[in-house]
Amino acid sequence: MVFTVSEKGLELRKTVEEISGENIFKCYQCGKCSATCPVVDSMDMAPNKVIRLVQTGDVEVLNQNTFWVCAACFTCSARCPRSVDIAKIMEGLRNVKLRNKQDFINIYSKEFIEKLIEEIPQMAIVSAIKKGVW
Amino acid sequence: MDYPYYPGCTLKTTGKKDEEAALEVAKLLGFELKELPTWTCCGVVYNLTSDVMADHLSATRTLIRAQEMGRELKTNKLVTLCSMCYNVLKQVNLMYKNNPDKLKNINLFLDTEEDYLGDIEIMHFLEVLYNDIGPEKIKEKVKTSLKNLKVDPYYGCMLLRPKTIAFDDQDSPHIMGDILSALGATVIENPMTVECCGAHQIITNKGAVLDCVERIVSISQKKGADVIVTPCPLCQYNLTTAQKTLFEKGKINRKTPVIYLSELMKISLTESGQDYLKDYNFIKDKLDERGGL
Repeated sequence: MVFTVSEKGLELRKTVEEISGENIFKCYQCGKCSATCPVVDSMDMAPNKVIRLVQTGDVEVLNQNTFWVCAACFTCSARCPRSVDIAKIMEGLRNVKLRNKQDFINIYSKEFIEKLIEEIPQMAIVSAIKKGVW
Repeated sequence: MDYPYYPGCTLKTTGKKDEEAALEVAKLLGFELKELPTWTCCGVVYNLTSDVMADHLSATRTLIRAQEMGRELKTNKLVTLCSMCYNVLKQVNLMYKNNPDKLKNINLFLDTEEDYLGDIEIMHFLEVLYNDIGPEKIKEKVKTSLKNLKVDPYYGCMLLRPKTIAFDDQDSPHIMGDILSALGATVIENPMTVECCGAHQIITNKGAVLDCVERIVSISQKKGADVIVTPCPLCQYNLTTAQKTLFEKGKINRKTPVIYLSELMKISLTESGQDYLKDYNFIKDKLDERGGL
């Protein structure tokens, strides 16, 4: 079987590797990250599949909610048998979106401002902003 | 010995009870947590990218403040109560240790501050209790034994992951359990003790938090825990609020109170522990059923 990777796909792979500092091809698709992820049920696509799409240069990966749902709890990174820091790759994908001005959270939206009125700890608000706003 | 102490934002608002109790517990154990005279946010989450340095500035400023205070107190330690502050400060510190070039750059950028020398040691309050004081000494100081209380220690993510910053076993941590045993409590073993509570997803994806908390709490309840104890203000908030929703939806049949470790220590270590219990009816009721403390 012959794979053809689009220009955009190659660029995405390179960018994610650069931002995360991880070698994406270290992953051999065992699925441990997906099995251990505490929030996988809320994801469009399991983490190991997201990594597969980055490996094959499929830009469709950017339309998944997986990296936004990631809570950066480092469980996957701690348990990966190939020592891939998956949390860093998710941060890489978030940053690809953010650096293209595609924020996940609109901090001026009514929905978000209402959250500020609730008694949510600041640490949750600041981390959500840091993960979802450029 | 006194320690410079960095509270962070949440310990002054929703986590206020933790700070109040911890400062008192420290005094009872013979040391003082001295708050840094000025401090800023630590950054909350460690920036995982390899090319953004600006995100590390706020943590670096905190480290410089600790360096200044450390000179006065003759120590290079900085104590935090919040798990996320611990995680960020320790990861930033470690990053500088491994990349002296990055430290040099940031020092050049922060030209109005003194240089950060890179030798501050970040410690969580739990580490101080376990390593510097020790469960034996805590045991000696117990005024009210928590002998009939079944406690489930919940660690969350930020104290034990990534491995480079962990101060206890990553998969089966024991420090909190040892301290609770020293107070006389019965410690429940919950396999979900190092699982994530959903963290900041409470803002953007509450469903994920509900799933996480349901798994953690249902096992805790099956094992008969009276109370869940955590050192993290975000875990405390998520576990408490998500349980309300889960209870309303009928997914759990009772709500387990979630309190800070320092609060339980305060009850156990003070003469007036019984008085404090008035604020913790859920514990008092459970204990009365079993014949008191």
